[in-house]
Amino acid sequence: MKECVIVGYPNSGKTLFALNFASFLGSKSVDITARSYDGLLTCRHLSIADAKNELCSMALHKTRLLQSMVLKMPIGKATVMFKLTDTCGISEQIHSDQTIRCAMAQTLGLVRCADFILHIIDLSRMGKREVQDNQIDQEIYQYGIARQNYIMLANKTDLPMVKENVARLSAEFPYAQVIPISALYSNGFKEVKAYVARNI
Amino acid sequence: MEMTTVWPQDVLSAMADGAITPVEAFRKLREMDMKAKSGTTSAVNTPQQRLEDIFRELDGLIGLTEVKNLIREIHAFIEIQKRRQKEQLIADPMVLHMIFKGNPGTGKTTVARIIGKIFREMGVLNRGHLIEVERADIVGEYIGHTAQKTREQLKKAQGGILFIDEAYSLARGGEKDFGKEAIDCLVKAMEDKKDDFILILAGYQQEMETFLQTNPGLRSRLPIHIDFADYSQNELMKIAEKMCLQRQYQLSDEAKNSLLKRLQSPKEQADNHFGNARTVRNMIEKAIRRQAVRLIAKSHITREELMLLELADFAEVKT
Repeated sequence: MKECVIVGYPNSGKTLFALNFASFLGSKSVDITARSYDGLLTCRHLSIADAKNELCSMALHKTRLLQSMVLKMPIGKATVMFKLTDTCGISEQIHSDQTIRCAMAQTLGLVRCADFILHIIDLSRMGKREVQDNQIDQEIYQYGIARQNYIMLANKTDLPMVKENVARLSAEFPYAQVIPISALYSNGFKEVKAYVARNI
Repeated sequence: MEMTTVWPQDVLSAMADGAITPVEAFRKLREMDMKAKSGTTSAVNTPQQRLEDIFRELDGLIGLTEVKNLIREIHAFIEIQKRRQKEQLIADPMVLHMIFKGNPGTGKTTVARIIGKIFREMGVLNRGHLIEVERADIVGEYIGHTAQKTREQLKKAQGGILFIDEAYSLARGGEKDFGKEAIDCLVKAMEDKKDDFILILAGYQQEMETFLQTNPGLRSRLPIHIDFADYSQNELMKIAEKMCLQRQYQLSDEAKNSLLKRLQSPKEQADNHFGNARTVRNMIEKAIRRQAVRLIAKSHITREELMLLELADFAEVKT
């Protein structure tokens, strides 16, 4: 089974994307297997709505574990299973909280061995950030390009004033394939689905 | 503080301990992956390099000097024909069907396999695989059956090499034998599909000569003749040593001497179909089994003992 990993800055909408993408592929409920840094596994069965309530929030670093779910992708007449893993967001600075540092290390470890990488970028942060701030996305991008199975998802297209940021994004990351999406309203998921289907 | 990190796991734990920022961790991981990648994949990259690897494999074969020269000749010929084509010059159509003549165990199949690989890398054949058949695979049981069977094999060999071992047996049965039908079918395919596959007929020297004489058209349609000479005693010894090396075994001096005595060249032996390299392989494999039997009774076995083939192991091995 191919493993697909979602990475990005904290609060860029990774968990919401994962859950809405699962529901876009037809799942009504998901089995979420959470893996902690020391290898502890916990499995929970949640409906999509419950999962959204429980796992998504506006606060930074809500997700602190690797949360994987197995999804079915219809390809032709067959269905192929793949594993979608939501990860802890990665920020530039050394975080003061040990748990979060461990979770970030876990994310990196998974990025190294995952079959392909979905990199979520928060468009609303684009305008505000300084050069220093942009580094981690640059790094993920560089790493992903070297790995080849990499796609960039420009999230939060539903917000006003982000239109021009998409163009800026492709200027900044010239070699990446960028798909503008809205994780909240499931916009642009068709293209993401097509990409995932091609890779599993 | 500068930390030296060697393994990806060190980077991750350094990051978990708060020693480095995620940005630095990413940079280090990327560097490591780059290094690992350039270390492993640079070996087989361009077709040119792969071709060189195959030629190295060919050169690794003991003896067969004539064969090696001929293959290099063919390689050069194809390369130049390709260049001529690029310059819009008239290029001879490449008919590369071959006849391999030689005693069993002289490397005909091995060479055919290597030729397949070379032609694939050069773009002459698109698959370069080898289909090995004998008389029973292409000659049928009743009238009309033969053409069907032959065509089936030809279809399998498309884009590769059809290697017919003991090909002389196709013409041995006399006038009413279905072997003739198979030959007719092959001759037609050789003309029609000459870009699609390469036919190699292999067999013993004398028998192949008579075979070619019975079908005058065949000789001209198979322009490349390769003679596989019998191996000399020294060459056989080298082959034996190489086989041992490949299997990570060593021969003791007494074992070498005894082996050398057994490997008299076929001319000096009464039996004229001495199996050459294949016999050597069988002898070595037998000896390896004997060695296993000898060692299994022992309670302590050293690494050296596991690798050494002694005289006793060859004692019961017959040529």
